[in-house]
Amino acid sequence: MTVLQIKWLLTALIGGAGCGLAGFLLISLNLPFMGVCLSHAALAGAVLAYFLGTPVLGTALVASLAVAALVGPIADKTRTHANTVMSILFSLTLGLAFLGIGLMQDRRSELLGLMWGNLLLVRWADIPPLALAWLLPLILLIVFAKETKAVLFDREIARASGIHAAAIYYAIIALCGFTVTVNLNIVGGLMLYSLLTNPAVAAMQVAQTYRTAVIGSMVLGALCAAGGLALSFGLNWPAGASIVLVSALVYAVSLVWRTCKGRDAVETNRSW
Amino acid sequence: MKAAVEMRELSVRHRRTVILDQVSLVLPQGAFLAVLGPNGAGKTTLLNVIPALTTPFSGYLKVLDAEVSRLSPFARGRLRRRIGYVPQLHSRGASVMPLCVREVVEMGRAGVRGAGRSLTLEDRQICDDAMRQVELDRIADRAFGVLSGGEQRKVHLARALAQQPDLLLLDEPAGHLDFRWQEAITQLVGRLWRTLGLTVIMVTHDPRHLPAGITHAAILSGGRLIRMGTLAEAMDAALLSELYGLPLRILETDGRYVVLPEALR
Repeated sequence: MTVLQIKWLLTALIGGAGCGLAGFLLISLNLPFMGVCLSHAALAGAVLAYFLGTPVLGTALVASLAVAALVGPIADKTRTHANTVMSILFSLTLGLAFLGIGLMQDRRSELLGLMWGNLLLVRWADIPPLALAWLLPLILLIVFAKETKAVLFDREIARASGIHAAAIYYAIIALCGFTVTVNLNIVGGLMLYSLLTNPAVAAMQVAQTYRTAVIGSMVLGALCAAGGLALSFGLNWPAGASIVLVSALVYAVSLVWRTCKGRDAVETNRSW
Repeated sequence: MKAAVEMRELSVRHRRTVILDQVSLVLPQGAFLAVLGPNGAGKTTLLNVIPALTTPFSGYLKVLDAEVSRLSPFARGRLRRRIGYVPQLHSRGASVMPLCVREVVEMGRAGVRGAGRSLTLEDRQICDDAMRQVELDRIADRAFGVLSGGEQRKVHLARALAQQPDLLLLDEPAGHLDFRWQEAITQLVGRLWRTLGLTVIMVTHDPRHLPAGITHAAILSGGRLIRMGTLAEAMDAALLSELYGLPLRILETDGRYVVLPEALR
């Protein structure tokens, strides 16, 4: 294996594990659509950064956090479901991203790279932020284990039990925004959502305990990204699309596993 | 006797809508208050205002010797740790997390133990005791998600008891359950109140869900406290008929009450 291939593999494993963990957090909060909303806001922020000449990572992060911060107040003030608000913000940020790409003809290929991602263009300097985006939510889950578990289970009940649920909740959303932002140029803004959702949902289909669901989300996320990379090498396909296909396959396998397991249980009961 | 909860002219508003209107009541420690009333009367808001989950617009509120309006966010957290809260569960989305009964009950100790600190052996023993009190100890390792609605209510009762609360707030604990579970939860709530010496405030639509011997009852309508007294005083057929807009009659057996439409006579 060449040094270049080691770099790609390392990036895929760390980025995939981080996305898997972020996906687990968002799905547990019953906010699966927040992933797509954050990723498209980050995309719009990155396009804006090219337009303004500001740092791409910082601007994308600010955009995703700003959108995440807007969801709750808009939903509360207008008495609209958070998922509805997220779908509006998602379409708005996607529209803004396309507008920016359309206006900047000279940098179109660079900007389209943000949408589709390209793991093969990753630099060694991209790996520390990726590792940080994986480790920070993991540290939160370990240090504040009982608080995060309670907030992920039911935010209102956690608050009523005397836990500072809002602080934990916003920390989770901010860290997920960071994960999404640093993974933007690898998987791409359009396809990041599948890496956030599919491994985590697959892990939850299979896992019997909270701990195995957390670990499973990270492991499957890493496997999806690395598997997608291998597929990309083997078939000379785009890396982002390959990762999406592998993650969808992993989810399908988990569904089959779950269905077979359910059927076994019914048959056992019948024979009994 | 010291008051567990004291409200004076407490109002809650949402924009221009008045949810609670100048409610005043005093509940002594160790009492059981049933809060009854039609839909939209403000029952759940009354319950939510006590642990400062909802902020009042005006008025005075003292809970467990703490004047709520003067509490810092951290002090509110400390107050909530002394209050066991079981919200309406049928209206909540089911969590997708794979958790067992014990893990949900242990959430009751999460706030009490403090941020970033692991649960101790003592905490786990308290949770075991709470599960024993609601007869869940045999299914402590079963997945929460596969339990029946009645069993899930018991788990949340155990979670609230694991806080070792001074005040227990229950929002429709027997609502949306089959008859057997309604009665099981009613008997359980009555037993916990009598044996643990807790102050209990329970919101319910149906007086059948109230255990015998409770000390206080309040009737709310349109955000206003219409009547506060004993359950016998609250079970006034004329008053309830007027509130619900149909003729009602009330049956009483061994301190338990049933409200029926007059047409069924």
